[in-house]
This record gives sequence, C-alpha cells and structure tokens, in this order.
Amino acid sequence: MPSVKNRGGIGDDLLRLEDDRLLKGQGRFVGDMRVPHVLELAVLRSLHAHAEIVSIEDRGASALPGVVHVVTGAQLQEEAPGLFALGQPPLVAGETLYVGQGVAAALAEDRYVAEDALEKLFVRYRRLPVLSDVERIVEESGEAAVTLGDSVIGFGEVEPLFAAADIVLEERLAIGRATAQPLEGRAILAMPEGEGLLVYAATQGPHGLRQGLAKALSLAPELVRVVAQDVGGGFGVKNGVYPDDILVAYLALKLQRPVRFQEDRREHFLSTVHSRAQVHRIRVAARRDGTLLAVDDDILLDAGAYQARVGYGRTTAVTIPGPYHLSAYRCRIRDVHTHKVPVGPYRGAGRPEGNFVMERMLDALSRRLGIDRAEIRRRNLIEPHEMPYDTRIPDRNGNGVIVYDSGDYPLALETALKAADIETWRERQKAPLPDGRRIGVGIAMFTEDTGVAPFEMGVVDLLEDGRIRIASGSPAQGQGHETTFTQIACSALSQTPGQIVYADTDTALVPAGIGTFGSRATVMAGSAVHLACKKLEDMVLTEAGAILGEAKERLSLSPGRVDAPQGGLQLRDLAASIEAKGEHLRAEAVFRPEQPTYADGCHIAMVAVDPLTGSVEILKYIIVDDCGNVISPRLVDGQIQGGLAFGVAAALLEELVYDNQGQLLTGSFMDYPLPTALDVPAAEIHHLCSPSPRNPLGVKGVGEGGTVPALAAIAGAVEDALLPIGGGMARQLPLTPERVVRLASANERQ
Amino acid sequence: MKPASFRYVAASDVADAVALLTEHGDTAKLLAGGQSLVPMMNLRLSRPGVLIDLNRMPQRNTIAVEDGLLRVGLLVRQKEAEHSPIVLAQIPLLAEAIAEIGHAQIRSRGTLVGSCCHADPAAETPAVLLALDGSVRVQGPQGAREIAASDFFLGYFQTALAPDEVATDLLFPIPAQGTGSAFLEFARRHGDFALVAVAALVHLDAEGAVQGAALSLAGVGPSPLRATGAEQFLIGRRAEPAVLLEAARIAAQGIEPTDDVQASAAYRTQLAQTLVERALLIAASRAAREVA
Ligand SMILES: Cc1cc2nc3c(=O)[nH]c(=O)nc-3n(C[C@H](O)[C@H](O)[C@H](O)COP(=O)(O)OP(=O)(O)OC[C@H]3O[C@@H](n4cnc5c(N)ncnc54)[C@H](O)[C@@H]3O)c2cc1C
Repeated sequence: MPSVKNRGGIGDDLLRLEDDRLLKGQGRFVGDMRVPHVLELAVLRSLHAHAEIVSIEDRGASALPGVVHVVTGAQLQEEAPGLFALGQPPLVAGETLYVGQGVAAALAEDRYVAEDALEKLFVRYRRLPVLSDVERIVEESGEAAVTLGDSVIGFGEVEPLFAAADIVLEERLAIGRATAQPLEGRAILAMPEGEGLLVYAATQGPHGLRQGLAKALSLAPELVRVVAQDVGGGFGVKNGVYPDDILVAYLALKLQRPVRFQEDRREHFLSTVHSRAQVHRIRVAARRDGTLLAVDDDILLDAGAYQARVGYGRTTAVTIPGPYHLSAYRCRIRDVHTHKVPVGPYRGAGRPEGNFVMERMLDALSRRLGIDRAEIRRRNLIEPHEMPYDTRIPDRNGNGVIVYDSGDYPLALETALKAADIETWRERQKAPLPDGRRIGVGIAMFTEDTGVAPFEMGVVDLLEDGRIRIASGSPAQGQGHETTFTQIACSALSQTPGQIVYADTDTALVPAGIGTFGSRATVMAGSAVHLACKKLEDMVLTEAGAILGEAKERLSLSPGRVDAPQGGLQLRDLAASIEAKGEHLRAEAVFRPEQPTYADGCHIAMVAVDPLTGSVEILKYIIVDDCGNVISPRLVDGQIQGGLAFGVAAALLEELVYDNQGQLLTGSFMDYPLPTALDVPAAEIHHLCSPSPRNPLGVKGVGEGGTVPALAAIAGAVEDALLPIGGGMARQLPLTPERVVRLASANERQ
Repeated sequence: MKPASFRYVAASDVADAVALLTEHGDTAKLLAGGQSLVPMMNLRLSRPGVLIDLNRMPQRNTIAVEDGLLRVGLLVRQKEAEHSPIVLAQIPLLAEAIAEIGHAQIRSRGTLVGSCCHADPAAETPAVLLALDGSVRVQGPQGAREIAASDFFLGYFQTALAPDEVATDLLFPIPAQGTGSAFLEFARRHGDFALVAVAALVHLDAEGAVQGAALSLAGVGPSPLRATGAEQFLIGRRAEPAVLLEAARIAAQGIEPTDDVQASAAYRTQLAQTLVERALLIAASRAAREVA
C-alpha cells in the first residue's frame, strides 16, 4: 500500500476533479461536438416483433430537401454483404426479430429532416408468430426450445444431499426485465480520416468498439481510432458494438463525410440492450438446524432476439452461493430466444438476480425453521480464517475455480445488525403505525467478483511542462476516474492533483484496453496506472540522477520536483532537457491478475408498507461494504449510494412489460418509473477494510455492491412487514403496489 | 423524438386566437403551458400545422373571486394557483390537488385551463372542477358560453370544446361555511399521474350530520366521475368511520375501471375504496373543526 504523503493522494477526501468542468456545461459529449458537414442518422425501427419485410417503398424520402442518403436493409445487404456476416445485422434485410430493430436509415443535415424522411418510407410487413414468454416457450417446446446458450455449472453431487436433507424448499422466483436509461443515450460520431476512421463514441470500451468496427468494415484495427470523451452514464449497456455503430461507420466511409447517431429516449427503450429478465426454479436442501447443504437452480433468461453480449446468466450462477458454505451446487442457465430487445449486462450484471434468489431462500428457510433471519445467515457464513476460500465453483472461463481472496463476513453481518439497532426495530414492528402501515426489516449479504476480465493498461507520460499525464483503457461514464486515478498517481509519484493531467481513453494513446464494467476500473486500470507511474518514477529518477550526478536511490519525488540530498531539480526543467534531446519519457504497464477480487457486505432495509394501497416507504437503509482499501472516500460512497438507486428500482419500480405480440407496453417514462431522489433513501454507509492481496493497491470493486443485495433486502423487508397479517412470500420483482397488495392478502400457510 | 415542422403564431388576445383557429381549422393547435402538447409533438402523436401561442396575451393570469365563484384565467400557471392566498383561503382543496401535479418545474409552466382542455382522465384539476360543480368559460366566433364541468369532460382527452373555441376561464364555486375537504391520490412515485385520485367535500350541520357531500374520482374511467350514490348515502348520516367506510364501498362499486399496464381493474377498485374512505375521514374531521 503506497504511503499517503500528499493532499490528494490515496484515501484523501477530494471533491471530484471533473465536476468543475461538468457543472459549468463544459463537458465534451458526442452530441455537443460541432463538426462541419456532419450528417445525422435516423433509423426506421420495426413496428413488429417478428415479421418478414415484404417491401420498403420510398415515397419521397430521398427527395426531401436536406436528405443526403436513404438506405434499406436489403439495399445494404446487396452493397455490403460483409456487414451481415457478424451476429446482429446493422439493418434487417429479411425478418425483423424485435420491435425497434432497424429496417432502414436516413442521413440528413439535421435529425429533424432525417426523421421526416423516415415518415416517407412505407414498409410492408408479413407478420410471423411471436415468442414472448420464456416459461411458456419451454413448457411448449421443452428441450427443443431455442436457446442462445445452455450451460450447467456447479460442484459436488446435489441429489444425494436433497434425498437425505431434513428440509427441502422449492420456489419459483422472478426478476423483471429492466433497462439502464443513462442520462445520455448511445452516441457515436465517425469521421473519415485517411483510409480509415476517427470515431468519437459514448462507449465503455473503446478498444472493443475499434475491434468490432474494424472487423465489420474489414479494416486494419490501426485504421480505426476510437476516443471516449465525457460519457453521460453507461451502467453496462454502452459496451460492445451496436448495429447502429456499424451503420454510422460504414456510411461515413462510404460517403466520406462525418456521420453521427445520437440515440433518443424512445430508441433507448427499443434498441439498447435490456437486462435481468430471469425466472428461477430453485431448490435448497438444509438441516433442521439451518445448515445449508445444497442448492439446485434452473434459470430461464429471457435473452431476446440475439446473443448480443456475454451471457450474464453465468454471472448470476456463480454469484448464488455467496458468502455461505455449501456442500454441493448445481445451476442450469438457459438463455431463451424471444422476440424482444436483446439483453446484456447492466449494473450488477446478473449478480443482483443471483443474490436475490439465494437470500430469498434463506429467508424462506428462516420462516420454515423459525430461526431468525440474521441467525440463519450467521450459521452458514464462511469464516475469515478460511480465507483464501476455495468455493469449488468453476470460474467464469471454466478453467479454474473461484477462490475468495479476503473478507470478514461475520463481522459485516454483526456490524450491520448493530448499526441498524435491529432489536429496537423488532420491538417497533410489533404494532402497526398509527396510519395502519406495517414495519418490516430485511437483511441481505453479498459477495461479488469485482475487477473481472483479463487485463488493463496504463500509459503515463512526463509532459514537456513537467506535469504527468495518465491514461488507461478504462474510460469514465460518470464514475469519476479523473479523481480516482489522479489520487492513485499522486500517491505513486508523490505529486499533488495539479501536477497530474488525466487523459481521455483514446486508442491512439493507449495501445490496448478492455474498458469500464464489472466494477473493474479501479482494480484493473487503477492498478495499471499505479504500475506505470512506478515505472515512470524510476525513469524520471534515472534521468535526474544523470543530470544531478547523484545515484537515483538518493533521489525522491515531491510535488513538481525531484529532490536530492543537496538541491534537486524542477520536473519542468527535467522535462525540458529531455525533450531538448528529442526524447520523451513514457511508461506503459499492463496489469493482468490471475483472479478477480471479491467484495462483500451486508444491507439492512427498514420499510413501512401500506397493505391497502401497496405503497412501500424505505425508512432507513444500512449498508456495510468491504471494498478493501478506499482510494477516494466520497466517490466510493457515491458509487454505493448510486448503486442502491438501481437496487430500489429493481425491487420496487422498474419493469419492461411486453404483451404476447412482442409489443413493449412500458416504452416511456410515463409507464416505466425510474426512482427519483424521493424514492431512494440516503443510505447509512459503514466500511470494513479487507485489502485484496491480488493487486498492488489492495482495492476491490465498488460499482455494483450498492445494487447487488438491495433487491433481496428490500423484498425481504416488505415480506417481513406483511407476515403478521398473513402475507405471503415475495417471489417476484419489482414489488409494484399491486403486487404488494396481493402479497398482503396471500394468506399463505407455512 | 423531433416534432414535424409547424408554423408558429402568437395570438395577441383571445379574439385573435379565435380568429386564428377559425382561419386554420383542424391543422391548428393552441399552445398554453406546453407540458402535454409539446411531448406529444415530439413523439409526433400530435402534428399541428400551425401552433397558436397563447402565452403572449396580456392580462390573462387572473385569480379572482366574483359572485361566489373563484375564477382562474387561461394563463394561470399551476404553481401560481397552488400558492395563491385567494385559492388557499377560498378553496384549499384546489391547492391541495395541484400540489400532486407532476413536479415543480412542470407546474411552473402548466396551466389549469390547459389541463382541463387536455382532459387526461387521471388529471387532478378536472376532478376538482367536477367535485365543486364548476364550469369552463369558453369563447368562440359566436361569443362566450359556459359549459358545466359535468358536460365538459366527455372521455379520454375529449371535451365539449368546439374546434374554434378557446377556453378562457375556469369557474370554481366556493364551498359553503362548514365544509371540509380533502384531496388524496395514489401514484407509483410522487409526480406521476395518479392511479386513482379522489376529491372529497363534506358539509356538516351543527349536530355533526352530513348536510352535503361531493366526491369525484380520477383515474378510474375515461373522464373524472362523481360518486353520486355515495354522496346520497352520506346525506343525513353522521360522519362516523363505519358510515364513511360504507360510502367508500358504494363509491367503489360504482366505478368500472379497465385493466392497463399500470394496474388491474380490481386493484384500482380497491385503491378507490381505500382513498375515498381516507379522504372522507380527513374531510369530515376538517368539517367538524369548521363547525366547532
Ligand atoms: C412529467 C410530467 C408530469 C405530469 N404530471 C401530471 C399530473 O400528475 N397531473 C396532471 O394533471 N398533469 C400532469 N402533467 C401535465 C401538465 O399538468 C400539463 O401542464 C397539463 O395537462 C396541460 O396544461 P398546459 O398548460 O401545459 O397545456 P398544453 O400542453 O399547452 O396544452 C394541452 C392541450 O390543451 C389545449 N389547450 C391549452 N389551452 C387551451 C385553451 N385555453 N383553450 C383550448 N384549448 C387549450 C392544447 O391545444 C392542447 O391540446 C404532467 C406533465 C409532465 C410533462
């Protein structure tokens, strides 16, 4: 752990460095860029979930003043068949597979005119049967149901344990389909440059986008340069390559003009990947004393029309065992093909769903056995002395097993229980509130893999003016990398923030990279930046030693300076003398850990539920989080609090509802309620610190821990509130008011 | 989500607006606060050829008491009425209802008159106008007329306004002394359109018996509804919890909501009963305080 010498180093409570710029409206978003001769793209999107395109007639679209180009899927396929060779096509040529899929596109001098042109394209569809409900599909087709993925993971033999168990519980649990809705929609601007393209994109992974575009266009990757400047939120869905991206790049090359696509809100609902959408049939085997023996789960994931992204169902599966001992585990995951928007990872990326089902089953066990919810967890937790703990769960890539690195789960539980003052709440909930509402308490614990995927790269330069520029392959979408990475660099190089220049992720500056997702940026890119800084420190001290005639071991860095036993050197002067020689100091480092880090924690929710209206108010919310060393306290708490908003959304509010014809019934913010500031409680956050031994900073990811257990904690609290009046088990999210009312009057016997 | 192209004209006064409507006929639309119309234009669900802006008219933002009626002029913003001392003193029910409309940003543009002309079945202002037996004053090429609220709201986004008429004022009768009122609604989040909203007025006599009652519900049908059966049941009875619960049952039996993506008919019916009961309890206790 680097020592904290300077204000602005690791652990200091800085205000976000990027906010001055962002709050003054000086952010640089793709939509703000003024580009001469730019053409704006509008995409005509299918009205039918599954239909054959019989014909598309241009009744004046091309002739509209301001319209430069109109193209249908069929035309595109004829002129550029290569674009259709990879997965999802940029436009549909034959059959549409979901409402919102692109069937034609118009380019015009502004988006208004481009949309006018779309209205003059007349599509004849021949409708085809629609696949909508995953359980029905599997019920009707069984093993013949079309899946975009089907795998089983686990360890040990579950069946003998179920046969011998004192208690076996089985439940159907479901989590609704959701959408990310960042403030800024998807956005991409491609400009012809030489034989290739310069691309500005609102992307979480510039290198992946470059790779994807180059492949689609049969260009050498060096000919495509991708830059991610400010991005207005990503949450997982701005990763990878969308059909619209390929269309923009292709048309920019073809017409040799800059082309931009800026997604609007409606398109975000209908064309950006959705997520969650899981139905579980889960069985748990336990002893009478509450000891868990085995878990067996069967997940149907409503995958939509294409396998567009890495399957997050597997992430769900590896999350389920969590912080608990299990003797055997089995989980089957089927990504069932439906005629809906494809799904992909989104805040938590499958982990919240896995956590939800496991924690719900623990609550069910608690109810069945009459063992308190905290106690049943306590009896099953992995102990700190067992760390590193071999879970026997195969890892994501299937070539190793998951080994938890560090953590004190019992301490997380006890800390949360104490902070929540749980006994007082147990007293309070004995009687209803004066207005008739009932109080409930929910507890959920979690572990999550953070810092996933193979590597990340850091690039650090000594600039001519003596400042130090840092860059990595993980761009920011609002997380505050500029602050976090600057703090890492300040500690590594004994500098203050004013000495550090944070650079956008640009494939021309950083040769290789993966991106920002899976709670990985600080773990992976932060570590890479740290390593690169340490390399640069060595280079700087060596150069300075040569000038000063001192051994480099006798030199050290301080803000803006190299200090020597006698005198020293300004970094500015050192840089100038290096540049004068025609040289430049740049350090690159790749961080490639063998295993991810495992963050953990505990959430406790206290709610008041109105059994007659179904309203749920979160009265208090306790979070204990262990993400190892904290680089930037304010940003860590911000991530946790922001993550909780997504948890509240999934637990109580957000659900994309489709009808059986594949029409989205909740396609605007009128019908799809995002949580507002009034709906999300200010969490009381407590930190534990179990540094990860798997990276030089001792950090673990924190981007998703605020979300992961919140679904289960809130659902558990609502259920708990209604138990005394005969309420049932909370099995389906979100708990809309109507579902809560039904739960209240379920009259389930246990 | 960009509107189709349109022409913009600012009306100098009501007569001008009527003349412009007459001239442009079906292709014209009046623009008040724009909080319903502009989103619909952005989605191209509404595509007026000519947009007639009412916002430039002078002296149309009056809130005044005239002949026992509270008059709200055509450019009165929801936020102005919500905080108006006249409204708070004369018809607190209206201020209470307006506070439930959208968010502050929306209320500072949206108008009460525009809300009634838009006639969203879940809107608050129409429910209050109906509960109070109010009316809408409109002006057309033939001059002015008044349309009773019970005749004005015809169905989903449908009113009795003729295409060449401009609504100029809302007229809210001021409740008699001894009246208590309450506005309650239930929405998924604060600021959302109500799943169900209830406006309740209870007028008690000196003995505590109900002398008059008015109940209207929004969100349970194509336009706001009066629960006349429940109103009649209450007359002459003491405003006790069991009586109010029975009135709420009667009100809920009298509605026929339909299933939609937000709520099933059964849930809406239960919600209506719960909210009517609670609104009546509050209104009756407020009335009792007035009488005491
Ligand atoms: C996010 C959001 C949330 C909202 N929540 C609610 C809510 O909870 N409850 C609620 O009631 N409303 C809600 N609204 C709608 C808001 O109250 C609108 O302001 C109102 O419905 C319309 O009033 P306006 O002045 O904005 O009218 P506009 O949008 O300008 O016009 C609406 C319609 O009325 C017509 N019109 C307007 N004025 C006149 C007139 N003088 N004569 C004849 N026709 C006229 C217009 O031509 C148009 O057809 C919400 C709006 C938004 C954007």
